[in-house]
Parts: sequence; C-alpha cells; structure tokens
Amino acid sequence: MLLEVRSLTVYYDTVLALDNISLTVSEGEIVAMIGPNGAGKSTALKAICGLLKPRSGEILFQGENINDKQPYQLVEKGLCLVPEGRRVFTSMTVSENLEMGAYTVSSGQFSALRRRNRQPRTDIRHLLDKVFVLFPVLKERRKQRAATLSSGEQQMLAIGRALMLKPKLLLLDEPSLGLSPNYVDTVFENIKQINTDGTTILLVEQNARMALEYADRGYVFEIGKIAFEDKAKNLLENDEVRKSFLGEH
Amino acid sequence: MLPQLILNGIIAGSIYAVIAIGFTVIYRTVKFFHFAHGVVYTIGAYFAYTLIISLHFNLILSFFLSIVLAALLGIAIDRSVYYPLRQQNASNLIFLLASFGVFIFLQNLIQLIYGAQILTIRTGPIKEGHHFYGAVITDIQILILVVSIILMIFLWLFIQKTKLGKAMRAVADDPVAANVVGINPERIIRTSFAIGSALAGAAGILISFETNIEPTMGFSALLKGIIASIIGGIGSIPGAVLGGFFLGLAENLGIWKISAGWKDCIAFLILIIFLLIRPWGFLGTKTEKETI
Repeated sequence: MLLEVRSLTVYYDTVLALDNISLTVSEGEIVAMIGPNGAGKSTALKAICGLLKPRSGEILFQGENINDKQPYQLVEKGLCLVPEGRRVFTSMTVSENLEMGAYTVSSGQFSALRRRNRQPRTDIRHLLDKVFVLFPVLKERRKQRAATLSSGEQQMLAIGRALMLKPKLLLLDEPSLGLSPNYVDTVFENIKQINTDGTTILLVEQNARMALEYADRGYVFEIGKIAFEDKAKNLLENDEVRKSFLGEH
Repeated sequence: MLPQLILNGIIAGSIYAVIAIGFTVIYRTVKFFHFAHGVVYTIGAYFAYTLIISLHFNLILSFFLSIVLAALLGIAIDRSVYYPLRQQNASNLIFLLASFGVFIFLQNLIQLIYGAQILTIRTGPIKEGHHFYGAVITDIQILILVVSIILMIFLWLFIQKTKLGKAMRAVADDPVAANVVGINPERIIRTSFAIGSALAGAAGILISFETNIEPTMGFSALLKGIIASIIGGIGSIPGAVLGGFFLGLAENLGIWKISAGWKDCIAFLILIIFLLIRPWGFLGTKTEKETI
C-alpha cells in the first residue's frame, strides 16, 4: 500500500471538517475523491500532504507515519501536491518555476533523488527536458513570466513543477477548476499519461463524472464522511451516486 | 550650490536605498513591517564603534565583522521573538507590535551600555574633499557611495542567480506553493533576516564613518527606509533602490530654497503624496492587496 489513511479526523479551529475517514491508495492507481463543496475532500488532501494537521488518526506513506511532516519534508519522500488554483510563482519565469520543483535536489548532501534513483548526479536540464516532453508548450514559453500564461498553461506548469522529481504519489487538488472545456480534456489526458509513466495519482475534483471516467477507484465525500467507495466504473453506474452526486435523474 | 545638493542627495539616497532593500528583503518573506530593522542599523554603527575605537581593530576587518554581527542579530531577533509568534499563528498586528517592542528594548539597551551621548568614529584627521563639478566630495562619501552600490549589485545577483535567492523569490510570490515544492520556509525566513539585517548593519556602519552616532539614530533611518520602500513599490527590490535615491535627492533639493529643518517634512510630504495618488509606488503592482 502506497498511502493509507486511518480514521482521520480534522478540525478547522472548532469546526469538524473530516470525521473519521479511512482510505487507501495502491501503487499505480488513479484514485478520485469527489463530492459537493465543503464535503471535506480538499481537507483530506491538505491533511495528507501536511498543510493541515489532523486532530486524530494516522496517515501512512509507504508504511511510515507522516502525520507530523511539513509539505516540504514530504517532497523528498516522493509525495508532491499540485495545489488548488495552480499557485505558480507568477513573478518567476516558466523555467525558474520548474527549477523550483527540483529545489530539493542536491540541496543537502543526501539528496532524496540521488538516493532513490541511485544516480551520482542529476542534471536539472535533464529533468526539465522530461517535463517538456509531456508539456511542449512550456518549452516554447520557458523564458516567459508565469503570470503571462493562460490558466490552462499555468495548470500544466503547476503539474510540471510537481513532476520535476518524478514523485511516487502525485496529489492534485481540483486540476480542472477554472479551465476552459478543451483544457479540461487535455489536463485529464495528461494525468492519464503521467500515471502510465509510473506515478500514482490521488485527485480531488468537482467535475465528478470526468474524474471517475479517468480514475480506477473513487471515494464519494459527503459532509465530512465518505458516503461511497468503489471502483470508478461501479460508481458511475450506481443509481444513488448518479442521482445525488453526478446530477442525473 | 545645486551640484553640491545633488551630490548630497545621492549620498543620502544610497544609505536610504541600502536600508530600504534590507527592509524589503525581510518584508517580502514575512509580509509584515519589521520595525526593529532601524535598531539593527543603530547597533551596526555601535558594533563598528566598539571594534574600531574600543578594540582598535582595523577598519576593513571591523566593517565585515560588524556586518556579520548585524546578520546574527537579525537571526536572533527572529528566533527569539518572531518564531514563537509564528508557532502560535499570530496576526500581522501582533508581529508589528512585537517589532516595535524589540526596537524600543534594544535602543534602550544601547543607551544603557554606551550612554545617551553622541559618539564619534574619527579614524584620521579631517581632510579637504575632492572638487568635482562644482561640488565637494570627501573620501568617506566616495566610500559610502561605492560600497552601497556594490551591496545593491551583490543583493541583486544573489536574488536573481543563486538557488537560495530564487527560493526567496518563490517564497515572496507564494509561501504555500514554495512549501509544497520542498522549500523549508523557516530556512528562507532565517536567510532573509540575515541578509536584510546585514544590509541595515552595513548602512549603519557606513553612516558612522560620516556622522556622529547616538542610540536614537535608528528611528529616522527606519522611517526613511520605509518611505523609500513604499514610494518605490513595497516588496520590489529595484523599487527600494529607486525610492531611496529619489527620497535622498528630493530631500536635499527641497532645502535649496527653504530651511534645512524641513528635510523630514519633505520626506513625509512625498510619502503622503504617493499614498494618495500612487500607493503602489514606482514599481509595485497595482492589483496586489498589501497588508502591513
């Protein structure tokens, strides 16, 4: 099991946001967390990557408890987040943004990437090229400031930045939010491609139908709890899920 | 008269600019006004005084040693006061008040140790300055100008080219995004306080070669640094440089026709004019919503 979340409870100050949820992600999967606004799916993602501290429960990444880890400590372990709203570094160029994605490489003498891939040295340019293969448009725009990109291109940049170190588990928070419809398709195709290249994916998505079409498994959130969990295919066919969460009658 | 005023303006401006870029480096990372920056400037001058006059160190060694001590002081202020507040998620207002507290505490500490009287670092006989296009410039003033410009260039190269400098820009842009790409925020905060305080200290040391020093010298320097940062565009390093020189020139040219006692008044008038018609300054971003 790559990621295992056991009885996770999260509060915002005194407000209960997540009530005793458990979920798992196995290596190679695409897992989608769907549900209405405020159901807690984003909260779950933020707790997993260390942006929020859980009140109780356990988060295990490759069997190791990561409850008390900060996001920057998890990057070295191979867990990267693409935050909601993309959050690229707007005043920096596209290539500088990607460079920041590889910040942890050789920042200490025990670079995580070196340990993981057993490579003597990792050239940043080599990592950049890999991302440019996936997102050729970023190569064209590499000298531009990130603020000048369209929101779709910014999403690619945010994903590319998280992919620089080839994480084991990529967390995506609302990857299609605010994108034009044709970019939504592109982004999901990219996610599929990243998964095929060997990265496990856990994503939160408003666009529930789209997410389930691409995912292997899904968790349906409702007011801080998990209402359904099943193979994505089964969820798409489940009458109750269709009626309550996919807006069908 | 005019060439001399312009020259004085440039020299004053270079000191303001160094204070302002130090202030800006810290502001960009922590997003609150670190008022204790002014007292770090004062202590920089007193470090230099102690090393040169009391311990008879040589000038260049004292300069570098004082800068290092100022940087360490900056880190110590952050570690002992701001860090515990960060752990408690304190609001910006709390940080602002705390930084005032640090300012007053350290200013009084200097007074306790050195006394309230004026001190002077005079390292040689007073020499006549060089004549330069109808103005007179002393060796010390040339030193101030050259060192200030070198510091600005060094800072710019550091921020633009080095990995740590780029990480500082990333944190300035978006601290959460910086955290999720693997940048340890505490490390960047520490670096920012070290660099910003080193710059404040350097400005204090440079000015101590030129004028007398006293425990309360930091307050007006701090205000000039803040005004320079605001009119340059808060958070912008080139803006802080531009704001510093603009302020120095405006103050000195302003007293061409009126009494020199109005200098500070001119600085605040400029601040008020900017806040009314162009609050984002020369190079700041208009859309950005800034909080003190």
